[in-house]
Amino acid sequence: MNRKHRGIWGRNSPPQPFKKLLLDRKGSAYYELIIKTLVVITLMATVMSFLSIFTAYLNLNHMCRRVVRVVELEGQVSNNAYDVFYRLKEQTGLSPDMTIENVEYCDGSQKIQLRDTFTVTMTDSYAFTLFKPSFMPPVQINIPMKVSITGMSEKYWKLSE
Amino acid sequence: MGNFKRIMNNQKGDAFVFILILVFFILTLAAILIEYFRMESLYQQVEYVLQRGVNDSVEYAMLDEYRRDGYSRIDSALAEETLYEYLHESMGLNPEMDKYANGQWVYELEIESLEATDDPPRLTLKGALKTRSIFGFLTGEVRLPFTISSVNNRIEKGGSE
Repeated sequence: MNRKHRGIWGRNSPPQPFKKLLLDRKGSAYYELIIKTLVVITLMATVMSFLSIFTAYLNLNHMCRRVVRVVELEGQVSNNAYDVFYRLKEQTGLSPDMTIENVEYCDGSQKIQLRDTFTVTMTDSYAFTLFKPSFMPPVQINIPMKVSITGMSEKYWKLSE
Repeated sequence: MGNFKRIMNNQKGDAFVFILILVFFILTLAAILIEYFRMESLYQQVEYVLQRGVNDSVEYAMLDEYRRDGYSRIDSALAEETLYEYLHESMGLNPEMDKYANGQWVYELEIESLEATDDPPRLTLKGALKTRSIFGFLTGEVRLPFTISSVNNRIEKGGSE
């Protein structure tokens, strides 16, 4: 038998019914649609997983803003500020570190005089999961996040002379 | 005339013109949206800072002698003076109430009225924020009115404990 008679598959020619199925173009649009849908779903899942990074950043920003507002109203870094911080930590599922900088305390305590400014900084890192294989731990990238918001005390401390 | 008619009737390259119109439309829409959110953000920011200033002024001008006797009063002249001091020193407005950032004009604060009452201790600031938009050639200067008020009815001892 010469090459011409063996067809495109040559010596490794597949069985006759399978060959027929592969060459048959009937319903090809249907398979194309399935593949395209899978690609679109994968793309959407990727985009949505990226959105979670922005959500985490927005939550961190909201947390910082709330703590700043409490310190502004109380005029001190009080237990209330820490209460709000811990409550928001639980609600958002984030675990940032909080530092209060550029502040001048008065009266040797945690009091901030009216119109004195302070900066609350929160830092956290978001573990973005690239893929989660079943036979090994998930492959992740740690994205550092930092939010700094400056506030101003709204409490007038009448200090003893 | 005949030439113009021929150009109008010619269907060659109409897809290109259509794409140009579409791109122009999308860009204009995006510019309008971005500008709207920029102005909204500026307004919110200024309103927040002004609210803080009004609160500060009322807090600073509270008369403790009356509070001890269970009354709540402020020194209205002192409250007004403190607010103007805040506008210039903390908000960085010049004597004409213009705000500049990095040498560029950002907005002007137009104060219509500032009412302070001793009893109840209330300070009300009415005015408008005047700023420019990228669509200034169509709309002129944008004027965003605001009314900010602060009342302090607290009569228990506070501030120095």
